[in-house]
Amino acid sequence: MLVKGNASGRRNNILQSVKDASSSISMMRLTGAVLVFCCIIDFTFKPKHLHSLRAAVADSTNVLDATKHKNNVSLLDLPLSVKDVAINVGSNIDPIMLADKKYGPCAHNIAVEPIVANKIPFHRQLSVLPAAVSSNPGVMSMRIYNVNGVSSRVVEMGGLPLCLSSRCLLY
Amino acid sequence: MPVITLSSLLNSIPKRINVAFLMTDIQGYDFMAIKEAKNTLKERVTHIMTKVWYDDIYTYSGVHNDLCRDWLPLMTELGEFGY
Repeated sequence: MLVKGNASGRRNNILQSVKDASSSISMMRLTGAVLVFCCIIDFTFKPKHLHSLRAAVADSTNVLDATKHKNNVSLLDLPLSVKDVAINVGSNIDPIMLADKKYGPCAHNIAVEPIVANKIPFHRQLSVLPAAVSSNPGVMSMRIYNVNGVSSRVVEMGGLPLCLSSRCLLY
Repeated sequence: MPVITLSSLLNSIPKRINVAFLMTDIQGYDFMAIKEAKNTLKERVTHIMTKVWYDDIYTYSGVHNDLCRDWLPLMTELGEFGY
């Protein structure tokens, strides 16, 4: 009985250790599976606007870096033949152009338009800068009002919305 | 949205180029933007056309863009008075 008892006790101990080992292995497998699942979720279902936001912030950082070094600014690349320039800040889709009769083909126009820059028709004497102008450089949000953002303006981050209608969008 | 200053834009234009005309229509931020670049404007720009507020009618709150209170002192400081 003693021998039997010792043998059964050993067997029980062995079975218990095997159970512990298997449970720890299953826990490790479960943890690994959870980690793999999290990685898959992270890479597959990450919101695309985060990527675009990061890209926008990177572009803005480049612009701001360019503006900091006033002697080496690369905001514009004007042709060498340009003699006169007109700047239109907030041009919307129809920027003003220097008259051809007075200034001729050597004049150039610069439109600074933050919202509908991509809707401005192409003209060989026009450069479009998709940015907003203010007293301090940086990155800001814009509230878009009306069709084509006619009355839009920059807002401070975290500020109260100035437009309560459904046509007010955050750009 | 990247925000630049008017002075950085003007400084990006080579000195050999004449900035014949500057027009702004930025929803009340005109005065702030132009005031920031007043020294560069005096050197580079010959004509400015901008939107101002007049007769105590303010289109937007929180910004200064009044003709008599803001613009005339600035233009007098710059040595220009035609509008």
